[in-house]
Amino acid sequence: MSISEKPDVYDEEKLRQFQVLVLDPNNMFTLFAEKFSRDLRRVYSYAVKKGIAELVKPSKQDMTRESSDHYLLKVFAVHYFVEKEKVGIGDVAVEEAVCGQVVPDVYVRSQRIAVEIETLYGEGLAWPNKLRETVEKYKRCSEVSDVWLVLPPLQASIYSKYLVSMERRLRKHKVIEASVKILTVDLEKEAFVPVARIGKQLKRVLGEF
Amino acid sequence: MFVEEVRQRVKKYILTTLAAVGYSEVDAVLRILKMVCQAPEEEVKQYVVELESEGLISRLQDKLFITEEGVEVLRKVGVDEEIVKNVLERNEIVVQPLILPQHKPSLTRLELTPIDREGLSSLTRLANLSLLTLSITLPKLVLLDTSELSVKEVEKLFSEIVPKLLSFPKPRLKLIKLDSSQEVIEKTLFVSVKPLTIELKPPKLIVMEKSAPLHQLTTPVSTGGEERKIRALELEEEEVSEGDVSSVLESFFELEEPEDVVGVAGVVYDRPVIIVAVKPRDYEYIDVLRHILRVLYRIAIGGLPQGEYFTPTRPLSINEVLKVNIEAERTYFESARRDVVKVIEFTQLKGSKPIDFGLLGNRLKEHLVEGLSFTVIYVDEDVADDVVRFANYHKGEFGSEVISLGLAGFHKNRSTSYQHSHGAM
Repeated sequence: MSISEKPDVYDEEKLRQFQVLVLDPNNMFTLFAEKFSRDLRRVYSYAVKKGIAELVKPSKQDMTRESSDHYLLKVFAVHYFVEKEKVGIGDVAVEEAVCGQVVPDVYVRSQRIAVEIETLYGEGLAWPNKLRETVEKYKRCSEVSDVWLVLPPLQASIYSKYLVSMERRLRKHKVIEASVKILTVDLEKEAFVPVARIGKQLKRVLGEF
Repeated sequence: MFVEEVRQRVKKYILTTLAAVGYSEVDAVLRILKMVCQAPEEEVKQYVVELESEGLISRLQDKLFITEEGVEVLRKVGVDEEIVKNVLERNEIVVQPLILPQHKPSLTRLELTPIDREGLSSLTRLANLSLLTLSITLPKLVLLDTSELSVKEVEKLFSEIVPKLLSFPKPRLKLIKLDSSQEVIEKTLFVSVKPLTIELKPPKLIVMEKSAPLHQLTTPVSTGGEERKIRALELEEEEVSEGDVSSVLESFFELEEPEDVVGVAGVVYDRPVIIVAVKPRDYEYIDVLRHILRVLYRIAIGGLPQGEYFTPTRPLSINEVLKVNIEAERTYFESARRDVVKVIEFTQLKGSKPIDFGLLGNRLKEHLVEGLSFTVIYVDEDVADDVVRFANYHKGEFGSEVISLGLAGFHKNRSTSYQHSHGAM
C-alpha cells in the first residue's frame, strides 16, 4: 500500500453508513486506537521501502530494550523531515550526540531541531520528572535551537492539561535557552501537532455535551 | 715430581668425571671421585679446592661444574670431543635456569627446653633490641615559578590537563513505596472506610453532525487543503492555559475535581486498583477504559499487562444468582494472575438475583498480595450500588484502591453505613 492510499477506516462515506456504530464513543475510540497502530505500521513499511528505516538506530541509553512505540515514532520523525519537510537524509541524525554528551532521539542539523520521543513507559509516578529531565538535558547545549518533546496521542490526551501547564512554565521561566514545544503526532496528516491543540479540541468536541 | 704427576692426573680425573656426570652436588661428585681416583676423601676435597682456585671448576649452590677454562684443559689432554660438547651443553643449561630444589622443613619433634631464671635473663637480654629505623625519602615539592614561564608554556601546561569523564549508567527507577493505609487495624463493624474522592459522571454520548468529517472528532486538525500546507517547522507558539483544554479522562468520565489533571492516572501505582465501572443503558465505554488502563499500566510498570475478561453465565431462572464463571474461566487464564487489566462483567441481569459476592470477594482478595493490576467490575446501573458498597466496605481486605466510574455522587457516604450482611446479595 502506498502512503497516499487510505485503508477503509478513512472512508468517511462508508463510515457514515454505519453512523450508529460510529456514534458510540466506545467504538469511536477503539476504531481510532486501531487506526493509530495501523498508520504507524504504514509509515514504517513506507520508511523501510524508501531506505529511511535503515538509518534509524535503536536507542542505547537505557539498559532495557526500546519499546516498539518509541522506535516507530523515531521512524515517523525521520520520515516526516525527509518526506514532508524535504530535509536531506544526511542532515538527519538519529541517536547521535550533539554538544558532546546530549543524545537526542532525532536531530535535524540544518534546522537545529532536537526531537525527543517520550512514551513515559516504565516511568511510574516519576513521569513528570522524566519529562523535565529530558528538557533540562539541553541546558548547556547552545547548538540546539528547538526541542520538540513528542508524546504518543493517547498519553498526550491523558495528560493534556499537565502538558499545557508544563509548556507554559518552561517558557515563562526560560528553563533552557532553546524553544520547547510539546507535541504529538497526527498520523493521518503525517505531521506533528501541539498537545495544546489536542486539549482544546477535546474540550470543544467532547466537553459541550 | 712423581707426586706432582699424580696430582695432575687426579685433577684430570676430577675434570673428566665432572665432565661425565655434569652439574652435580659436591657430595655426590666427591663420592664418585673417591671411587675413580682411589684417593681418600680429604685429598679429593683438596684437589677440588685447587681446581676451583685455578678457575677450572666452579661451584654454585653447592654444586660443581666445569668452567670454560676447564673445558679447554680437557680438550688439551685429549678428552673425547663428544664429552666436551656435552659439558658445554650442560654448562649452557646450568647458566640459564637456576632451579633450586626447595624442601619444606618438616617438623619431626618438638623440644621444649625448660627455662630457668638464668635462661630467662638471657632471653630478656635478647629483648633489648635497638629500634629499627626506616628512613623514607619524602617527595619534594618543587616550587613552580610561573614568572619564568612563557605564555606558550602556560598554555601547554593547561592543554595537558585533560578532564576524565566518567559515565555511569542511569539506574532504573523502581518505585518502592510503603503504603500507610496497609496498617493492621482491628476490624469492627464501625470501621469507617473513606471512599476515593474522585467523583465521576456518566460517560458522554458523542453526537456527530452528519456533515461533520469524522476526523474532527478525533484528530485535532482539520484536513482542509490549505491547512495541510502548514508545516510543523513553523508551528506557532500558542498561548493556551489549562482551562482552555481538557484531558481524555475528563472528556469521557468528567472528574469531580477538574484540577486533578492526572485523574485516574494519579492512583498509587504499587497496589491494585479496582474500578467499578457503571455501564450506561445506551452505549459501551469499556474498551475506551481498557485502552487507557493499558497505557497507564505501561507508564507505571513498563512492559505490557496480561488481559482477562470474564463474562456472566446467564441464570436459568429469575431467582438464581448470576455467576460470572470466574472459577471455570480461571483455568484458561492461569498464567495471567498478576499484572493484569481484568474485566469482570455483570451486565444484562434483567432482574435476576444478581451476584455471587462470595465468589467475587475471593477473586478480589487475591489482589492483596499482588502488584499493580486493574480490575474493572463492569456492571449495570441496577446492581452498581451493591457492587460499589461491597468493594468500598471490603477494600482493606482487597488491598486496593477502589474507584467508581459512571455515576456522579453514586458512592458518596455509602460505605460508612454499609453493614456486612449481604453475603448472598
